[in-house]
Amino acid sequence: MSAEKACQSSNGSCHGPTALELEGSGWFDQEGGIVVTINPEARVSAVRIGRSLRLTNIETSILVPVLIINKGRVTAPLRAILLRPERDLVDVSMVSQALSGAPNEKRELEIRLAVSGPLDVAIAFEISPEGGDLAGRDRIHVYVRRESPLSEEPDDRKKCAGVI
Amino acid sequence: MSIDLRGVAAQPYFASVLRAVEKLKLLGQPLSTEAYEKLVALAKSSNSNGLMDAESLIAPYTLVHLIVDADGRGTATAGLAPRNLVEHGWKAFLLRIENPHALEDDVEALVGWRSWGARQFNAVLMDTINPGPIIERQWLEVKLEDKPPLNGFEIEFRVIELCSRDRGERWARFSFGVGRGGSYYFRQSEWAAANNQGLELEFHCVPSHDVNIRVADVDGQSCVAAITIKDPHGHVYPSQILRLPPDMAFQPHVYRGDGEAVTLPEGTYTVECWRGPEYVRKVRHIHVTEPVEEVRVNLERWIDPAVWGWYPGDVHIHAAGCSHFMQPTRGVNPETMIRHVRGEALAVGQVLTWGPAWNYQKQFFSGHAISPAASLEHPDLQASNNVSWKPQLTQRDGESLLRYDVEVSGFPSSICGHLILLRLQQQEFPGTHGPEDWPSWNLPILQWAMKQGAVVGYAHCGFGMNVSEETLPNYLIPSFDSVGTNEGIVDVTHGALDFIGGCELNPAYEMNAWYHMLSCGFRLVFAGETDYPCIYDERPGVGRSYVRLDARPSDDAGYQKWIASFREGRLYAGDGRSHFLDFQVNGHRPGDPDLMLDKPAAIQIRAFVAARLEPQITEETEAIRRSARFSRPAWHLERARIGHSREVALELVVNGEPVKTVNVLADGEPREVSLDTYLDRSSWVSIRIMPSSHSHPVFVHVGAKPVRASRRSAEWLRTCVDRLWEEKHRFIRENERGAAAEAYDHARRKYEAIIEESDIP
Repeated sequence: MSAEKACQSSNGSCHGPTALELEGSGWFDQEGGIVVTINPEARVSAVRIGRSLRLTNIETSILVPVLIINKGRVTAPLRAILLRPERDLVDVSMVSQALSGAPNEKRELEIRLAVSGPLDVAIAFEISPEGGDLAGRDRIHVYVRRESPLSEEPDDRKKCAGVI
Repeated sequence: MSIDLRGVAAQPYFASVLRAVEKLKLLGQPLSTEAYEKLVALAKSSNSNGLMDAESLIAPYTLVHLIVDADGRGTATAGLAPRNLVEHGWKAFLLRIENPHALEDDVEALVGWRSWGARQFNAVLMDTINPGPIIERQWLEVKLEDKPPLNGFEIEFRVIELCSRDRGERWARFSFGVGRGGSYYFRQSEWAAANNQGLELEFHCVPSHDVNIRVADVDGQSCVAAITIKDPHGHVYPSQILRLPPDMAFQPHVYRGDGEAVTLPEGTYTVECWRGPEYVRKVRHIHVTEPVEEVRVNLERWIDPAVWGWYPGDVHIHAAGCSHFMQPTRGVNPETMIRHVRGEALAVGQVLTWGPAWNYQKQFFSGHAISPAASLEHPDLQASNNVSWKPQLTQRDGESLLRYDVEVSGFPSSICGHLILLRLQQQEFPGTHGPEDWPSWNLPILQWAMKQGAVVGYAHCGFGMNVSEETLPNYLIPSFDSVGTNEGIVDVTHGALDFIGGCELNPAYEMNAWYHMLSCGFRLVFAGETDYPCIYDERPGVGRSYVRLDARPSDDAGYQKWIASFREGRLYAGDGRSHFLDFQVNGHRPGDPDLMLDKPAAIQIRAFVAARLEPQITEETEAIRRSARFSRPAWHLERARIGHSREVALELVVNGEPVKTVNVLADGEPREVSLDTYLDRSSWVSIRIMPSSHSHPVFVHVGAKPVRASRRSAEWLRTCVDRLWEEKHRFIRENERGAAAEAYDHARRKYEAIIEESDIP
């Protein structure tokens, strides 16, 4: 991930993570993923970092790294919700166990494709159904493209080479 | 060539267009209900045949169709959206992007002339005798919502926002480019602009309204305040890019006096008002519609140190500071500087002329304090910028003074540390024709300035003084490789140093040398300063020096008393969020004659302390508290907050070491604190709330002995002299190096003598 994708200030003018917050998280060492920030009032915001996903013909799903910056020290479960398209085209899942409350935590988001071709996948992150962000900052969209028909091995998963 | 819609996948297309349409709605410019519902229905069908219908539905909202070539260059054509804008207001449109080469890079828009967009936050004024015509044509700001790079899909939609400065019929040329990070995409869009590849569009801009701002201080007196105006989408008014002095492009607020105006389109706004850290930040919501009502700002102070005899000043602000030079100008004039100083309720603003723009700015030096009217510098240029408000006098105007003096920065000696020379009578070093002729080390300049009665010190004292420890005091040797206190440790031994200026950087870097010098018996002041707008752009008075006087300084005679009291140490320095309204050691205040004790004894410390933390912890307060110590603001009371309480720690400091700590409720109320401690030797005694404020010491002599608080401090300074010489001597002119070497030897001998005199390790 490149540092310029992080906010350069912490004055509230930007809802993404600051470069300072990402420093030491190891995220400068990889090409990208999703960064979810939970503010002290437990509001959730998310940004995607890096490039679009391209799946090859042996893949039916992909694991995307998720870094959680937990400023609210929240210990509730963090969920990933598929907004669109419908589940018959794609599904997403993330381990929904409770957060530890630590400032930084890592999870993985699994995106499973049921069809070939390009898809624009919109995902929201939430820690409670009431805690959504009015400005839609809890949402990201990911462009995925599977280049050829589905593999015969539906459980075959490949670690994301580094990108959203 | 345009993409054939028949080959475009429906799902990503509709996902992108719906996202952009929802963003338009969020920005207050939704599609018609009918068009939106049809679009949603088409999206649900996810049928490629529906794309043509969708294109028709969104066409009336689309400003530009963009086709990106393999090199990232954009070819734009006009969309069907009516090109109606609002004077001083924002309007949002759709930008349709065809991306046949599946680029996955950032997209950027450039508007106007080649220079547009090349700066982060400001339009660029070419060097010219009359910039008026250039200002006139820089009337439009453009902003792309949603910064994620292109997906690589054939067609994407973005929201493009435009802010018009003007009313009436106007035109602008747009160019677009796609590239990866950095400045690559600017090259593409600039290439397009330079090669007339851009798209010229004409707009109709409907007029806005002048909203009169009424500003009243707590007693009803009219005054100047800082006003920040934002719409519900976070847009700042007036547009920061389209500003001329006294409104600064590098800060979101503007300074307005009672009866002055801001031009706003109809709509709802959040107006935030403040007048420096002694005031409570007030926020109110307004709705602008015809008939236009005035906005009343009734300021609220949480503390008035003047009631206790304290008058704040900032000894380091510039009229031609770094951020002023983001465009090639001569800086700003006194009428702008006084407006900013008044808007922060500062009694004194020391405007320092330095290397850049020396020849222009030095004309404002008079050897006297001034309090000019806050008029417009160049009414003709303001007219070119569609600014129509008229400056007004206020009843508080006379309470703020400017004093033009010098910072020796951008001069041959600067590498030895930047000097601040206050209360000068002459600003040109004898026998010189310009800054380049001045001495290449500092002591001769300090001695020349002191001969004429100047008060002299070092600016941003923490530069070059950083070490790997953050304790105070510490004994690590700094690199002296920058422009803070540096040569000051030599100059002080020659009696040629009155103060060092800080409250800008990590306190440990700023104050360690000060502590050691005090512990060796030297007398010098730690002053609050801002280096506005270089270290801090936000405002003057980020770092403050509160000076004790019998009466408010309101003319040159008052300034003379203020600067004399400053030099004598009747002050405390800090961020203005905590205050030492009274501090006495056995009845002696800082700056009073020293306290004399016949023998070791207990001392009584009495203080009135006031501090104010925000009542509620917020994301903003936590961002400050948890930010790295080296990040800015380095001095801020929030960093002193104890846990999740509203308390801060007040420390009693003796010879640099904290000996007593008491927690103080930071609710803004002055609170009396009584402490005692035992002194077994001559000492300096201070109080501090770190990193927010620090008092000047009271000096106590036990048995008439000088302060020799720590041999280790003297040893540290002695070692530093060697390190300093090693670092600096090569920058001193050869014909001056001999005298400098002698001055350094003098410092070595002085510290060695103090080591001998110190019986305390």
